[in-house]
Amino acid sequence: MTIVFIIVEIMLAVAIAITFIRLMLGPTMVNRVVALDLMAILVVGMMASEAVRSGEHALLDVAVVVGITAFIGTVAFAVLIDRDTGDKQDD
Amino acid sequence: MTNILIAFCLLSGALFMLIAAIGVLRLPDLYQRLHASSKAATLGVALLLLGAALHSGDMGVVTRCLMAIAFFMATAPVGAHLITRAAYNHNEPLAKETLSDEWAEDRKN
Repeated sequence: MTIVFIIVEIMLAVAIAITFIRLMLGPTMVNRVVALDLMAILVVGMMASEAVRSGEHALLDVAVVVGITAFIGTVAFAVLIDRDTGDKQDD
Repeated sequence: MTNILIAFCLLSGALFMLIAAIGVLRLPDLYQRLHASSKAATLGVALLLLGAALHSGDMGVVTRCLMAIAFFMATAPVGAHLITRAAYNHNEPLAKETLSDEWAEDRKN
């Protein structure tokens, strides 16, 4: 069972690193928002695997809160970018 | 037996999340990146939370895990749709391979 946790955590860490590359490259702001959103979901997954490994089930509650925060952040960024466009079209 | 099921859930969930990350890095335009991020990552996190629910055996934890899975399945499409619409309004370029853009044709009329 230990080898399973090692493999899972390495895969998730590599996934977070790859997403971070997109966060730095991302040509526009929208790409960075997508990368941040995916990164938050990856952190939730890492918390779930850590909850199984350590038996600390309170981590699942934290994972839900991280997910809610990420969703609110994504919606806020989408509204912000949309409003930005509206101003440009008025000019 | 349960251990094998938990290991399968965790490994396949982590694999789907890795595929989502690779897709976000390598796909050519924003809309395809969002496609990878919203579908594969949701399935991955649902499998990981299902593994945690199977592991605990406590009814309260199972309920919370199922609630979290339902939450992610409900919010991921909403967030992806909002970002895609904002990006399209912001004239985010489409990939060269794109075959049709029906919204642009509708807007011309």
